[in-house]
Amino acid sequence: MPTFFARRYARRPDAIGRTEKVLSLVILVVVAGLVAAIVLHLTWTWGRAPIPCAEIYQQSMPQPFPASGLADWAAPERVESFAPDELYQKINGRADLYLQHGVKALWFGTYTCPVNGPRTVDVYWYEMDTPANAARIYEAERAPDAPTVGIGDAGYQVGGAVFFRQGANYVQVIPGSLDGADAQVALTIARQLAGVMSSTALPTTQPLQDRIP
Amino acid sequence: MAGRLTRRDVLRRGAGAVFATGCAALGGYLLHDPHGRRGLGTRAQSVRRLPNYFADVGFPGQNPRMSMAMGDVQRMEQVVRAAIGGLDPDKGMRRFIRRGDVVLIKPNVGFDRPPALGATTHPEVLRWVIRLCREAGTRRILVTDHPIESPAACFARTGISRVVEEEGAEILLPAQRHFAEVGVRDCEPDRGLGEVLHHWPMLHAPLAEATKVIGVAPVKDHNLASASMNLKNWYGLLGERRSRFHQAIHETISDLALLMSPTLVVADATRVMMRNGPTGGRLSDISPGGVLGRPTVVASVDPVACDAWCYENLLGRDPDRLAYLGLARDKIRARVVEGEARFGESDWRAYDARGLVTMVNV
Repeated sequence: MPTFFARRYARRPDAIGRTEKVLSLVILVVVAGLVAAIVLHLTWTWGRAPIPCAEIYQQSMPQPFPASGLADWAAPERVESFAPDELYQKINGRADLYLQHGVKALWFGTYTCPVNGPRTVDVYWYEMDTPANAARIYEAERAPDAPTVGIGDAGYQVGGAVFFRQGANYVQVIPGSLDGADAQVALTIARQLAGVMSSTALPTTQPLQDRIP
Repeated sequence: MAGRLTRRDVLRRGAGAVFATGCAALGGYLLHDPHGRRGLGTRAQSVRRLPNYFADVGFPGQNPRMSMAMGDVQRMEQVVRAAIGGLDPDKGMRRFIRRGDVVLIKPNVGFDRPPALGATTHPEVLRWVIRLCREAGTRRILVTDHPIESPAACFARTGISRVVEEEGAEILLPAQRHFAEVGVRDCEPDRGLGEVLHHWPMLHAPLAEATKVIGVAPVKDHNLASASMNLKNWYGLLGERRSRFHQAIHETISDLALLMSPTLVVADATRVMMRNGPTGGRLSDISPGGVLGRPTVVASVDPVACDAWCYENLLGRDPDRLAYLGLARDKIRARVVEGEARFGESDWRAYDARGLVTMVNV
């Protein structure tokens, strides 16, 4: 015997109007979509870390790092950028010192070479608010007895790593091997970076606000 | 006419559908736990407590509390054995580790840097700590840290993952499910007493599984805390946005010293970052053995005293000026008075005067 609902609502399929069918389908899709959105949101926040801002931003900005100028050494495939309030994600407690010196952004990338390696050279490119602050942070970290190199406004090399400043930029070029094997590579890459800074607009043309969280 | 939909039907059924959907959404919102998979339990019920990992060591009162060994990096096995063996010449690591223990080793893997830069634990020091634990009969050895950067990249670049795999231990890379609220104190922190932490998300899963915990930390300069050594090493277990504690770094480190009573700490002074810490980046910032001038490993059952000794004798600084040492001493002392078995003496010379500090050249 039909139930109350069946008796009240049951109709032959051909008795259901077209309008009602369309409306029913729309409601079903909306409800299913809401459920899916809730489930996806919950699994997203429980099981996964959000995409770091650096990755989102990297997808929308041009490549700031130039070619290495060396055979077999590739420019960074992936560039990380960090706004001041995210700087600790890359340099941890050291970030506070840079914040005190007016850092505007950090751009990080790794040059790589597969020959006899893999070999790497890390580049930390700090964009400061003024050349004066770039000079201050450069002096604060400078190795006192390190030999100078003619790169940028001032530079030195120690243990194969190159540190220089140019304008409002402070750059650290650090090879993965610190035994001096890649000292010349670090120098060449540093010169390429200095050349980019002097001839093109800085990454400051790219906005650091209103990025996708 | 049969089959035709009236306006009233549309309105009635549409309202019913919207009502049902709204109830479902409201239910989902009310049932959603923004703090993670803890069901409907209260925050108080979900706060974990850490055990005292030193409590059942049964450390003899007459044994040295700190043991230093100096030697070349090529003789790391002898250096590490001598350092730990100095705490108990008869038993060595077996004083701390028993057969069947699950040991968690917490090195500093905080930066994606090569080991020569001294920003992270030297992989060879870690290797021999793992080896000694295995010789003592551990059932399982876990190695973990929670770097802000990509954990996999940090473990690889620092050489830590290679050594752990070679020694047959396990790396636990942190994931969301490994974190839980850990209680530091039962009451709200008193800022006037230098207290910061009440309870905070920490990398709890390996701590819960371990029966013994060993910290292996490099000795280095730190621009906020002045130095990063054994007590600062536990900072790497904090979850969420731990940079918010940078403005109360000494208070936070001393709270971590109160929270964590490890089985043993090993200070890695094979290459000491004398300046530009914690990241460094220049070989000129590195000195083997710091002020001592020779690679050194320090083993201790008193993390506070060990930090004080390292600060003075390796970094060449006055431990009376290191704020978190005194705070840690006072906080731990209160627990010792209550009967907890642990050490927390900031004046390492007091140990030296009682003959509880040993040093050996390897």
